[in-house]
Amino acid sequence: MNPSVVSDPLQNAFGILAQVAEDRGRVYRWLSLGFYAPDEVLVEALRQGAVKQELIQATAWLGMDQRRLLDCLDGLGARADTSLPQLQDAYESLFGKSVARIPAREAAYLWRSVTHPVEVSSELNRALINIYGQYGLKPRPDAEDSLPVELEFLAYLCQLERQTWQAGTSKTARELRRQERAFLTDHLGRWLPEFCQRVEEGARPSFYSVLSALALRWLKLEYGPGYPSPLS
Amino acid sequence: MTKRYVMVIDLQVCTGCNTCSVACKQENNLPEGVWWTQVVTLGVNGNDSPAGEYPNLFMDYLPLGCQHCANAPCVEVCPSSATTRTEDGLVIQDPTLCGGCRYCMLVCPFTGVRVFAGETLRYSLPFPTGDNPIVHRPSTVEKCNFCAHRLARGLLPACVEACPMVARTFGDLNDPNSEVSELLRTRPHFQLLVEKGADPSTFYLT
Repeated sequence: MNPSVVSDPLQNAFGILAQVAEDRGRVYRWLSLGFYAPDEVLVEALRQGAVKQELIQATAWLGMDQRRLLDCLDGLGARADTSLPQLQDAYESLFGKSVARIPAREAAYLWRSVTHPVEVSSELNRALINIYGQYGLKPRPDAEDSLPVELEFLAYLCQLERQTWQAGTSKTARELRRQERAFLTDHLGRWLPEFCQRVEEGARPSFYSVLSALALRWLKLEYGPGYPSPLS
Repeated sequence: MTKRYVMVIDLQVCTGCNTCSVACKQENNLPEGVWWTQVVTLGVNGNDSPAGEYPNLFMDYLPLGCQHCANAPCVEVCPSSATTRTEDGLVIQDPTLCGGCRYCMLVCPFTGVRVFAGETLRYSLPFPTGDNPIVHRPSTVEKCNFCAHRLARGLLPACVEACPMVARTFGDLNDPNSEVSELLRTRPHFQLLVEKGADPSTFYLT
Protein backbone atom coordinates (compact mmCIF):
# COMPACT_ATOMS: atom_id res chain seq x y z
CA MET A 1 0.00 0.00 0.00
CA ASN A 2 1.64 3.23 -1.10
CA PRO A 3 -0.51 6.26 -0.40
CA SER A 4 0.11 9.16 -2.74
CA VAL A 5 0.05 11.70 0.07
CA VAL A 6 1.85 11.02 3.34
CA SER A 7 1.35 13.63 6.02
CA ASP A 8 3.95 14.86 8.46
CA PRO A 9 3.04 13.26 11.82
CA LEU A 10 4.76 16.00 13.81
CA GLN A 11 2.93 18.81 12.07
CA ASN A 12 -0.35 17.00 12.74
CA ALA A 13 0.63 16.48 16.37
CA PHE A 14 1.57 20.12 16.88
CA GLY A 15 -1.73 21.23 15.35
CA ILE A 16 -3.68 18.96 17.70
CA LEU A 17 -1.79 20.16 20.76
CA ALA A 18 -2.13 23.83 19.76
CA GLN A 19 -5.89 23.32 19.81
CA VAL A 20 -5.75 21.46 23.13
CA ALA A 21 -3.66 24.24 24.70
CA GLU A 22 -6.17 26.77 23.40
CA ASP A 23 -9.03 24.74 24.88
CA ARG A 24 -7.33 24.33 28.25
CA GLY A 25 -6.68 28.06 28.30
CA ARG A 26 -10.37 28.71 27.72
CA VAL A 27 -11.28 26.57 30.73
CA TYR A 28 -8.82 28.43 32.96
CA ARG A 29 -10.08 31.76 31.59
CA TRP A 30 -13.71 31.00 32.40
CA LEU A 31 -12.77 29.75 35.86
CA SER A 32 -10.77 32.92 36.42
CA LEU A 33 -13.58 35.14 35.19
CA GLY A 34 -16.01 33.29 37.44
CA PHE A 35 -13.94 33.91 40.55
CA TYR A 36 -13.39 37.63 39.91
CA ALA A 37 -16.04 39.91 41.40
CA PRO A 38 -19.12 39.33 39.21
CA ASP A 39 -19.90 41.75 36.44
CA GLU A 40 -22.36 42.18 33.60
CA VAL A 41 -20.14 40.19 31.17
CA LEU A 42 -20.37 37.08 33.33
CA VAL A 43 -24.11 37.48 33.90
CA GLU A 44 -24.72 37.89 30.18
CA ALA A 45 -22.61 34.82 29.36
CA LEU A 46 -24.59 32.79 31.89
CA ARG A 47 -27.87 34.16 30.54
CA GLN A 48 -27.00 33.12 26.99
CA GLY A 49 -25.63 29.73 28.03
CA ALA A 50 -22.26 30.69 26.56
CA VAL A 51 -20.29 29.49 29.60
CA LYS A 52 -21.64 25.97 29.43
CA GLN A 53 -21.48 25.80 25.66
CA GLU A 54 -17.91 27.02 25.44
CA LEU A 55 -16.70 24.79 28.27
CA ILE A 56 -18.29 21.74 26.64
CA GLN A 57 -16.41 22.54 23.44
CA ALA A 58 -13.20 23.28 25.32
CA THR A 59 -13.20 19.95 27.16
CA ALA A 60 -14.26 17.70 24.28
CA TRP A 61 -10.64 16.56 23.84
CA LEU A 62 -10.93 14.70 27.16
CA GLY A 63 -13.11 12.11 25.44
CA MET A 64 -14.76 9.81 27.97
CA ASP A 65 -13.33 11.76 30.89
CA GLN A 66 -15.36 14.80 29.90
CA ARG A 67 -18.19 13.04 31.70
CA ARG A 68 -16.55 13.92 34.99
CA LEU A 69 -17.30 17.58 34.32
CA LEU A 70 -20.72 17.34 32.75
CA ASP A 71 -22.90 17.69 35.83
CA CYS A 72 -20.97 20.83 36.82
CA LEU A 73 -21.38 22.20 33.31
CA ASP A 74 -25.09 21.43 33.46
CA GLY A 75 -25.13 23.24 36.79
CA LEU A 76 -23.65 26.33 35.16
CA GLY A 77 -26.17 26.04 32.33
CA ALA A 78 -28.97 26.04 34.91
CA ARG A 79 -27.83 29.45 36.23
CA ALA A 80 -29.17 31.33 33.21
CA ASP A 81 -31.63 33.36 35.28
CA THR A 82 -29.08 34.54 37.85
CA SER A 83 -29.05 38.31 38.14
CA LEU A 84 -26.05 40.50 38.85
CA PRO A 85 -27.28 41.52 42.33
CA GLN A 86 -27.80 37.85 43.24
CA LEU A 87 -24.27 37.01 42.13
CA GLN A 88 -22.84 40.00 43.96
CA ASP A 89 -24.64 38.99 47.16
CA ALA A 90 -23.38 35.42 46.92
CA TYR A 91 -19.86 36.64 46.13
CA GLU A 92 -19.80 39.04 49.07
CA SER A 93 -21.15 36.52 51.54
CA LEU A 94 -18.60 33.92 50.49
CA PHE A 95 -15.47 35.89 49.71
CA GLY A 96 -16.21 39.43 50.87
CA LYS A 97 -15.61 41.10 54.19
CA SER A 98 -17.94 38.91 56.23
CA VAL A 99 -16.59 37.11 59.31
CA ALA A 100 -17.44 33.72 57.83
CA ARG A 101 -15.80 34.46 54.50
CA ILE A 102 -13.73 31.88 52.66
CA PRO A 103 -10.44 33.46 51.65
CA ALA A 104 -9.74 33.12 47.94
CA ARG A 105 -6.02 33.73 48.40
CA GLU A 106 -3.16 31.28 48.55
CA ALA A 107 -1.51 32.90 51.59
CA ALA A 108 -4.54 32.14 53.77
CA TYR A 109 -3.99 28.43 53.34
CA LEU A 110 -0.28 28.40 54.07
CA TRP A 111 -0.19 30.45 57.23
CA ARG A 112 -1.45 27.88 59.68
CA SER A 113 1.58 25.62 59.41
CA VAL A 114 4.23 28.29 59.91
CA THR A 115 5.50 30.33 62.83
CA HIS A 116 5.89 33.64 61.03
CA PRO A 117 2.90 33.98 58.75
CA VAL A 118 3.57 37.54 57.68
CA GLU A 119 7.05 36.67 56.46
CA VAL A 120 5.77 33.65 54.60
CA SER A 121 3.04 35.72 53.00
CA SER A 122 5.45 38.33 51.70
CA GLU A 123 7.83 35.59 50.59
CA LEU A 124 4.97 33.97 48.68
CA ASN A 125 4.08 37.26 47.03
CA ARG A 126 7.70 37.81 46.05
CA ALA A 127 7.87 34.31 44.56
CA LEU A 128 4.67 34.85 42.59
CA ILE A 129 5.75 38.29 41.36
CA ASN A 130 8.98 36.69 40.23
CA ILE A 131 7.14 33.92 38.34
CA TYR A 132 4.72 36.35 36.69
CA GLY A 133 7.60 38.67 35.89
CA GLN A 134 9.38 35.93 33.93
CA TYR A 135 6.52 36.18 31.45
CA GLY A 136 6.35 39.97 31.50
CA LEU A 137 3.22 40.03 33.64
CA LYS A 138 2.52 42.35 36.54
CA PRO A 139 -0.74 41.74 38.38
CA ARG A 140 -2.50 44.36 40.46
CA PRO A 141 -0.53 44.90 43.69
CA ASP A 142 -1.71 42.74 46.57
CA ALA A 143 -3.62 40.42 44.24
CA GLU A 144 -0.71 38.18 43.28
CA ASP A 145 -1.93 35.17 45.21
CA SER A 146 -5.65 35.59 44.56
CA LEU A 147 -7.52 32.72 42.94
CA PRO A 148 -8.63 34.48 39.75
CA VAL A 149 -5.11 35.84 39.16
CA GLU A 150 -3.48 32.41 39.55
CA LEU A 151 -6.09 30.92 37.21
CA GLU A 152 -5.60 33.75 34.72
CA PHE A 153 -1.86 33.13 34.79
CA LEU A 154 -2.42 29.50 33.82
CA ALA A 155 -4.72 30.65 31.01
CA TYR A 156 -1.90 32.89 29.82
CA LEU A 157 0.64 30.05 29.91
CA CYS A 158 -1.75 27.88 27.89
CA GLN A 159 -2.03 30.69 25.36
CA LEU A 160 1.76 30.85 25.08
CA GLU A 161 1.88 27.09 24.75
CA ARG A 162 -0.63 27.24 21.91
CA GLN A 163 1.52 29.76 20.08
CA THR A 164 4.66 27.66 20.47
CA TRP A 165 2.98 24.49 19.21
CA GLN A 166 1.71 26.47 16.24
CA ALA A 167 5.21 27.75 15.59
CA GLY A 168 6.52 24.17 15.70
CA THR A 169 8.89 24.89 18.58
CA SER A 170 8.09 21.77 20.52
CA LYS A 171 10.92 22.12 23.01
CA THR A 172 9.54 25.44 24.26
CA ALA A 173 5.99 24.11 24.18
CA ARG A 174 6.98 21.12 26.33
CA GLU A 175 8.79 23.44 28.73
CA LEU A 176 5.67 25.61 29.03
CA ARG A 177 3.56 22.53 29.74
CA ARG A 178 6.00 21.64 32.51
CA GLN A 179 5.73 25.18 33.88
CA GLU A 180 1.96 24.89 33.96
CA ARG A 181 2.22 21.66 35.90
CA ALA A 182 4.85 23.10 38.23
CA PHE A 183 2.57 26.05 39.00
CA LEU A 184 -0.13 23.60 40.02
CA THR A 185 2.31 21.68 42.21
CA ASP A 186 3.84 24.75 43.83
CA HIS A 187 0.82 27.02 44.09
CA LEU A 188 -2.74 26.45 42.94
CA GLY A 189 -2.79 22.72 43.64
CA ARG A 190 -1.66 23.28 47.23
CA TRP A 191 -4.70 25.24 48.27
CA LEU A 192 -7.46 25.01 45.68
CA PRO A 193 -8.72 21.62 46.96
CA GLU A 194 -9.29 23.00 50.47
CA PHE A 195 -10.77 26.22 49.13
CA CYS A 196 -13.22 24.36 46.91
CA GLN A 197 -14.16 21.97 49.65
CA ARG A 198 -14.97 24.88 51.96
CA VAL A 199 -17.04 26.63 49.30
CA GLU A 200 -18.95 23.47 48.51
CA GLU A 201 -19.61 22.79 52.18
CA GLY A 202 -20.30 26.38 53.15
CA ALA A 203 -22.33 27.70 50.29
CA ARG A 204 -25.96 27.07 49.59
CA PRO A 205 -26.37 25.76 46.07
CA SER A 206 -25.25 28.71 43.98
CA PHE A 207 -23.16 29.64 41.00
CA TYR A 208 -20.09 29.55 43.23
CA SER A 209 -20.69 26.07 44.63
CA VAL A 210 -21.00 24.77 41.06
CA LEU A 211 -17.97 26.74 39.91
CA SER A 212 -15.89 25.41 42.82
CA ALA A 213 -16.89 21.84 42.07
CA LEU A 214 -15.91 22.39 38.45
CA ALA A 215 -12.58 23.96 39.44
CA LEU A 216 -11.81 21.02 41.69
CA ARG A 217 -12.59 18.40 39.07
CA TRP A 218 -10.66 20.31 36.44
CA LEU A 219 -7.69 20.56 38.77
CA LYS A 220 -7.81 16.80 39.33
CA LEU A 221 -7.78 16.18 35.59
CA GLU A 222 -4.96 18.65 35.05
CA TYR A 223 -2.93 17.48 37.98
CA GLY A 224 -2.64 13.85 36.97
CA PRO A 225 -0.70 11.55 39.32
CA GLY A 226 0.01 12.65 42.87
CA TYR A 227 -3.10 14.77 43.25
CA PRO A 228 -3.14 16.18 46.79
CA SER A 229 -6.10 15.62 49.08
CA PRO A 230 -7.60 18.66 50.78
CA LEU A 231 -5.52 19.71 53.76
CA SER A 232 -8.33 20.03 56.29
CA MET B 1 23.95 -1.32 12.49
CA THR B 2 21.33 -0.71 15.17
CA LYS B 3 18.36 -2.99 15.46
CA ARG B 4 14.85 -2.16 14.49
CA TYR B 5 12.52 -4.44 16.37
CA VAL B 6 9.22 -5.08 14.61
CA MET B 7 6.15 -7.23 15.17
CA VAL B 8 4.73 -9.16 12.24
CA ILE B 9 1.19 -10.48 12.65
CA ASP B 10 -0.28 -13.00 10.26
CA LEU B 11 -3.94 -12.13 9.81
CA GLN B 12 -4.45 -15.35 7.81
CA VAL B 13 -3.95 -17.43 10.93
CA CYS B 14 -5.14 -15.14 13.75
CA THR B 15 -8.40 -16.56 15.12
CA GLY B 16 -9.15 -13.67 17.46
CA CYS B 17 -8.76 -15.86 20.54
CA ASN B 18 -7.30 -12.99 22.60
CA THR B 19 -4.63 -15.20 24.16
CA CYS B 20 -2.17 -12.40 23.33
CA SER B 21 -4.29 -9.89 25.25
CA VAL B 22 -4.48 -12.12 28.30
CA ALA B 23 -0.79 -13.06 28.18
CA CYS B 24 0.08 -9.36 28.04
CA LYS B 25 -2.22 -8.56 30.92
CA GLN B 26 -0.72 -11.31 33.03
CA GLU B 27 2.90 -10.59 32.15
CA ASN B 28 2.58 -6.87 32.87
CA ASN B 29 0.28 -7.15 35.89
CA LEU B 30 -2.21 -4.81 34.26
CA PRO B 31 -4.94 -3.31 36.45
CA GLU B 32 -8.61 -3.93 35.72
CA GLY B 33 -9.78 -2.16 32.60
CA VAL B 34 -6.22 -1.67 31.33
CA TRP B 35 -5.25 -3.59 28.20
CA TRP B 36 -2.04 -2.98 26.30
CA THR B 37 -3.03 -5.22 23.42
CA GLN B 38 -6.46 -6.17 22.22
CA VAL B 39 -8.00 -7.94 19.26
CA VAL B 40 -10.46 -5.90 17.25
CA THR B 41 -13.17 -7.60 15.20
CA LEU B 42 -13.21 -5.84 11.88
CA GLY B 43 -16.27 -4.29 10.30
CA VAL B 44 -18.48 -4.22 13.39
CA ASN B 45 -18.95 -2.35 16.61
CA GLY B 46 -18.01 -4.78 19.32
CA ASN B 47 -16.10 -7.99 19.49
CA ASP B 48 -16.85 -11.34 17.92
CA SER B 49 -19.83 -10.21 15.88
CA PRO B 50 -19.92 -11.11 12.23
CA ALA B 51 -19.69 -8.39 9.60
CA GLY B 52 -21.47 -8.42 6.24
CA GLU B 53 -24.98 -9.55 5.40
CA TYR B 54 -26.41 -13.04 5.75
CA PRO B 55 -25.50 -15.41 4.18
CA ASN B 56 -22.25 -13.61 3.33
CA LEU B 57 -21.00 -13.15 6.85
CA PHE B 58 -17.38 -13.07 7.93
CA MET B 59 -15.28 -12.37 10.96
CA ASP B 60 -11.81 -10.89 10.59
CA TYR B 61 -9.57 -9.90 13.43
CA LEU B 62 -6.92 -7.27 13.94
CA PRO B 63 -4.62 -7.55 16.96
CA LEU B 64 -3.88 -4.00 18.03
CA GLY B 65 -1.34 -2.49 20.39
CA CYS B 66 1.20 0.31 20.29
CA GLN B 67 2.67 0.32 16.80
CA HIS B 68 6.11 1.53 18.01
CA CYS B 69 6.31 3.99 15.13
CA ALA B 70 9.69 4.96 13.74
CA ASN B 71 8.43 8.57 13.48
CA ALA B 72 6.45 8.46 16.69
CA PRO B 73 4.87 11.86 17.42
CA CYS B 74 4.22 10.81 21.02
CA VAL B 75 7.96 10.85 21.72
CA GLU B 76 8.33 14.40 20.43
CA VAL B 77 5.49 15.92 22.45
CA CYS B 78 5.87 14.30 25.88
CA PRO B 79 6.59 17.15 28.34
CA SER B 80 7.98 14.87 31.03
CA SER B 81 10.15 12.64 28.83
CA ALA B 82 8.10 9.65 29.96
CA THR B 83 7.77 8.47 26.36
CA THR B 84 11.08 7.69 24.73
CA ARG B 85 12.37 5.72 21.81
CA THR B 86 15.19 3.26 22.38
CA GLU B 87 18.00 2.73 19.90
CA ASP B 88 16.50 -0.56 18.81
CA GLY B 89 13.15 0.97 17.97
CA LEU B 90 11.03 0.41 21.05
CA VAL B 91 8.74 3.25 22.11
CA ILE B 92 8.76 3.02 25.89
CA GLN B 93 6.36 4.66 28.31
CA ASP B 94 7.63 5.10 31.87
CA PRO B 95 4.71 5.55 34.26
CA THR B 96 7.00 6.85 37.00
CA LEU B 97 7.73 9.91 34.85
CA CYS B 98 4.31 10.29 33.23
CA GLY B 99 2.50 13.49 34.25
CA GLY B 100 -0.86 12.31 32.96
CA CYS B 101 -1.26 15.14 30.43
CA ARG B 102 -2.49 12.70 27.74
CA TYR B 103 -0.61 14.50 24.98
CA CYS B 104 0.75 11.17 23.73
CA MET B 105 -2.79 9.80 23.46
CA LEU B 106 -4.00 12.87 21.62
CA VAL B 107 -1.30 12.85 18.96
CA CYS B 108 -1.17 9.08 18.43
CA PRO B 109 -2.53 8.28 14.96
CA PHE B 110 -4.12 5.11 16.34
CA THR B 111 -7.16 4.91 18.56
CA GLY B 112 -7.17 2.54 21.47
CA VAL B 113 -3.52 1.59 21.73
CA ARG B 114 -2.97 3.66 24.85
CA VAL B 115 -4.92 3.56 28.08
CA PHE B 116 -5.39 6.27 30.65
CA ALA B 117 -5.28 4.40 33.95
CA GLY B 118 -8.08 5.52 36.27
CA GLU B 119 -7.82 7.46 39.51
CA THR B 120 -7.93 4.21 41.45
CA LEU B 121 -6.21 1.08 40.21
CA ARG B 122 -7.84 -2.23 41.02
CA TYR B 123 -6.50 -5.71 40.47
CA SER B 124 -8.39 -8.95 40.08
CA LEU B 125 -5.78 -10.88 42.04
CA PRO B 126 -4.36 -10.00 45.46
CA PHE B 127 -0.80 -10.50 44.26
CA PRO B 128 1.18 -9.16 41.28
CA THR B 129 1.50 -11.36 38.22
CA GLY B 130 4.16 -11.62 35.53
CA ASP B 131 7.76 -10.54 35.44
CA ASN B 132 7.48 -6.90 34.43
CA PRO B 133 8.76 -4.88 37.40
CA ILE B 134 6.63 -1.89 36.33
CA VAL B 135 4.78 -0.01 39.07
CA HIS B 136 1.45 1.16 37.71
CA ARG B 137 0.35 4.61 38.84
CA PRO B 138 -3.13 6.09 38.81
CA SER B 139 -3.90 8.89 36.33
CA THR B 140 -1.06 8.03 34.00
CA VAL B 141 -0.96 6.78 30.42
CA GLU B 142 0.12 3.22 29.73
CA LYS B 143 0.82 1.17 26.65
CA CYS B 144 2.66 -1.83 25.22
CA ASN B 145 6.44 -1.64 25.44
CA PHE B 146 7.11 -4.79 23.38
CA CYS B 147 8.01 -6.49 26.68
CA ALA B 148 11.34 -4.65 26.90
CA HIS B 149 12.06 -6.39 30.20
CA ARG B 150 11.82 -9.78 28.48
CA LEU B 151 13.88 -8.67 25.47
CA ALA B 152 16.61 -7.62 27.89
CA ARG B 153 16.72 -11.23 29.07
CA GLY B 154 16.78 -12.63 25.55
CA LEU B 155 13.11 -13.63 25.62
CA LEU B 156 10.33 -12.85 23.18
CA PRO B 157 7.38 -10.60 24.09
CA ALA B 158 4.74 -12.47 26.08
CA CYS B 159 2.10 -12.14 23.34
CA VAL B 160 4.42 -13.74 20.79
CA GLU B 161 5.28 -16.61 23.09
CA ALA B 162 1.64 -17.23 24.03
CA CYS B 163 -0.04 -17.12 20.62
CA PRO B 164 -1.37 -20.65 20.02
CA MET B 165 -1.63 -20.04 16.28
CA VAL B 166 1.93 -18.70 15.98
CA ALA B 167 0.44 -15.67 14.27
CA ARG B 168 2.99 -13.31 15.77
CA THR B 169 6.64 -13.07 14.81
CA PHE B 170 9.03 -10.64 16.44
CA GLY B 171 12.53 -9.69 15.41
CA ASP B 172 15.03 -7.28 13.94
CA LEU B 173 14.03 -5.79 10.60
CA ASN B 174 17.56 -4.53 10.05
CA ASP B 175 18.84 -8.09 10.06
CA PRO B 176 18.19 -9.41 6.51
CA ASN B 177 18.38 -12.97 7.80
CA SER B 178 15.79 -12.55 10.51
CA GLU B 179 12.45 -14.31 10.29
CA VAL B 180 10.58 -10.99 10.17
CA SER B 181 12.70 -9.80 7.23
CA GLU B 182 12.04 -13.07 5.43
CA LEU B 183 8.29 -12.83 6.04
CA LEU B 184 8.11 -9.24 4.81
CA ARG B 185 10.15 -10.15 1.73
CA THR B 186 7.94 -13.05 0.78
CA ARG B 187 4.43 -12.23 1.98
CA PRO B 188 2.07 -9.39 1.08
CA HIS B 189 1.69 -7.12 4.05
CA PHE B 190 0.59 -3.67 5.21
CA GLN B 191 1.06 -1.19 8.03
CA LEU B 192 -1.83 0.69 9.60
CA LEU B 193 -2.56 4.27 8.54
CA VAL B 194 0.62 4.54 6.54
CA GLU B 195 -0.63 7.84 5.12
CA LYS B 196 -0.10 9.40 8.57
CA GLY B 197 3.63 9.12 8.02
CA ALA B 198 4.47 7.62 11.41
CA ASP B 199 6.00 4.44 9.94
CA PRO B 200 4.61 1.82 12.37
CA SER B 201 6.77 -1.11 13.44
CA THR B 202 3.87 -3.51 13.37
CA PHE B 203 3.25 -5.23 10.05
CA TYR B 204 0.22 -7.30 9.14
CA LEU B 205 0.52 -10.22 6.74
CA THR B 206 -2.47 -10.74 4.48
